[in-house]
Amino acid sequence: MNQKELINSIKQLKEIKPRQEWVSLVKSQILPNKTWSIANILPQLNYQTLHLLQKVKGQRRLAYAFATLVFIIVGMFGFAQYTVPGDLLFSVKKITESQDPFQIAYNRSEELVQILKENKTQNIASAVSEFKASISGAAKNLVLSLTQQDNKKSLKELKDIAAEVKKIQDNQKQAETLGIDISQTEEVKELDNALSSLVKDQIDDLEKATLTESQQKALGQAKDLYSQQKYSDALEEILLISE
Amino acid sequence: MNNPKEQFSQIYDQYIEKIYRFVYLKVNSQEIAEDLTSKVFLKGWEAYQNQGDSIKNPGAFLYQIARNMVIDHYREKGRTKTISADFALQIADPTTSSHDKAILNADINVIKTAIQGLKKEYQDIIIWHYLDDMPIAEIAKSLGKPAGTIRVMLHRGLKDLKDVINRPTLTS
Repeated sequence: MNQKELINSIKQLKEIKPRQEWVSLVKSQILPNKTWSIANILPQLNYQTLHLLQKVKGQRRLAYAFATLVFIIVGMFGFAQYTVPGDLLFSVKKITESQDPFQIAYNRSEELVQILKENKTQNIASAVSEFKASISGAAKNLVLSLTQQDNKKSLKELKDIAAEVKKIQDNQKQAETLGIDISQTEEVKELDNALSSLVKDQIDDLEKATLTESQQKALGQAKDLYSQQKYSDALEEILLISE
Repeated sequence: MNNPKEQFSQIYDQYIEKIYRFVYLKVNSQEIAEDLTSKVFLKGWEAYQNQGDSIKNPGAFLYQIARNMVIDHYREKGRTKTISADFALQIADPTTSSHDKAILNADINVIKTAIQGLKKEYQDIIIWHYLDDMPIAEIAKSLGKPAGTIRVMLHRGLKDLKDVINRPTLTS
């Protein structure tokens, strides 16, 4: 056997190979594959991964807390819509409702009627108080629009006011039939005075204007209603002329 | 690929057959070769985790562990590090080893047995150069000897191997 043949024979030893299943087994023992067990994963995580995990975990906890808070707030606001004066969450309802003083006054009158109908005696005092305050607010808003040119009401706003006042007056009558007379309170009188001034101003303006025969007739009816202190009706009549 | 585990996984795939063969040719037992080779890679992985950056030549590093592991194996068993050709013939005779019959033909077994009869340093050089295709320069670097010395040792190793093979007891 010469050297070349010897070397070729040596190279035949490359056929010596380990068992493939043993190779795989040893590799899996030395370098185990990841499993989803936290106990196996955590020791292999470096600080940054752990920090990230904690951060994500913290964010998730924060998100849950935030979601719970939102759920509570939404639930509280939703529940508050069914409250009436004297209830714990009534102040929450007031925060969320319309800022239109006449709409607010109408809401308070509705609540008062509801309380009286449901005979919630412990809520009556609060409801009356809330109603008076809202009427006073509406009256002040109206007076402000009469005295300040910047706050002058538009035709649509006047229409809305007339409609709201009529609904409030209907509720006042209902309340009266249920045993609570609020028509003679200072606040209601204050609103009547403001409405009286508004209607008077509108009548004065129309008297200066050139009107058709039908408009003059409507103005006459408005004057009659005004003299009967039916200010909201008079206002509606005036608004029909103005359209 | 910055993950040491992935890096060592590739090293494992690259060297498992070579290290196994290197160990097998020295211990002449599949069971012992598997046991020692698994220990080589386990130790290699432990070292790689702690000082992966400082291991510039993983192959040389693993071979060094394997060499030490084989030495320790023979030391523990009270055996000599080098086996005489006659003794090697007795334990690796193809007529008496059913395992060898199964995996190796007669010619390969003759060479295998003959290599086991060589001096340890000749064994290493012949295995690295002819089986693992390791260049002379790299062997020289691994052993810390001049390349010329390695060439001389390789030449002498081949000569001794030829002598062992041509002995009547091995070829008969």
